[in-house]
Amino acid sequence: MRRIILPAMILIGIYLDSILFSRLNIGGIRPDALMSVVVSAGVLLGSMQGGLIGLGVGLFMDVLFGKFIGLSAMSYMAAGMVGGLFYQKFFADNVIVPAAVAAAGALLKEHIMMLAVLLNGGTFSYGAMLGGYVLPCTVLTLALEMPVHVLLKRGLARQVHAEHRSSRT
Amino acid sequence: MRGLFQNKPFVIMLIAIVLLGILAFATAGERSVSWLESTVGTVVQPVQTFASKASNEIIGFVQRIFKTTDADKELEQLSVRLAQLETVEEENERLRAENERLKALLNYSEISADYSLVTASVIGNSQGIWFDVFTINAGRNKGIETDMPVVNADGLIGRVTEVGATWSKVTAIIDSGTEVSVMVERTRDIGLSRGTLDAGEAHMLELYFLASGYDLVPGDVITTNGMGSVYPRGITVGTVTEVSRTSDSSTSRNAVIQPSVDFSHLEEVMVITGTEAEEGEE
Repeated sequence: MRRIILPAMILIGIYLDSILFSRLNIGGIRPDALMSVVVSAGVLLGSMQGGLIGLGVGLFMDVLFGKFIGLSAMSYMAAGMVGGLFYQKFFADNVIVPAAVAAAGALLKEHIMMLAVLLNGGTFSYGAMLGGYVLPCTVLTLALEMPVHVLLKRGLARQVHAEHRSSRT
Repeated sequence: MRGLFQNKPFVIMLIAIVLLGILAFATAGERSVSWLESTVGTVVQPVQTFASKASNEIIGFVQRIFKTTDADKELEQLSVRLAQLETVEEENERLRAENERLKALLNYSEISADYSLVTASVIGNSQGIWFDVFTINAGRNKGIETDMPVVNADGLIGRVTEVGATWSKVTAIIDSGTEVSVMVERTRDIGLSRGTLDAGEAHMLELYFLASGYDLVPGDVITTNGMGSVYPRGITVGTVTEVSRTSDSSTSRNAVIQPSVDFSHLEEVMVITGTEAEEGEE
């Protein structure tokens, strides 16, 4: 189970972010499914693995669907690492911490994208984009992170418990 | 906090993040796709094509849920036979819609006999609304090259910006960093259209740099003017929906354009790979 749960969730996240959410969304507003998976992986497996998963997933998205190579990779890697800072530091059933980290990660990623648009010659109203797009997307990502984290935690339960035990001894 | 920076893996990753940021801005300009990127895309492209087709079914299912009234639901529960017929009808409807789209593309390719066209399906989109970039399932294997214009039966979609072995990335004309040299079809006035960025999915263009005293009314059709080497002359870009009258036309927009292409439902596109005249010369 644990061998396939993480790759399966990453693949589902790629499908949702690159195909489904771009066609099925609420007036352009959509959650960041991959951000949820990467943050959960970071929280459950630690900074190193979270960062590496974020790097891989981000580079994949940049190569196939992005305009600049490295933008998504940077955001996902940072989110995975920050998620790892909470590795083994809170009750296992807590979904608030990963949800908050995913929301912060989504907020960071959207601001990095915003900066890239500005440097690329685009113009927009910061207030309108923040209120009309960035914050609603952040809330959706926060909401999505809760079921994603519960699913991933169940899938990785044995590994997480084993690491927890070895860290105590 | 100090302990965090004594953690070697964490510091290495921080450095990696900074390097990725530098890489992103270093690759911001025109560039060619590396063999590694091309290979990754080639391996993933068939899966993406399948997933993209499958998503149409999911979207249709969700739309049916929201369009169904309580009475319909009750009726559906009472009559299994009717539900089966509805399923068949919906399948027929989907096939009919697909048939119409393909017919429109075929009709366009017959009308624009001057161009050599390659048909491709959209297999993925960039995340979020910041960039309007999408991936198609045709690349060097179909003769696609960077800067080739992409159209459909409704008009101009964008241009190819990256090419892999079996896939390409297209930057749409509604991308906020994209400019297209255009003209007003009725008056032949020349200007520049630019993509806009706003919350929601309005997908509008702005028209700039018309000569002072321009004659423009809502409903005017905007087409490409053929200047530059990317877009051929006469491809429909959109229709004027709002005209601005300001004293300084060099910095303010002259009009808002509704693109002729529905960018929210883009499934099949055509890449103009050359003109018949060019092929004749070869």
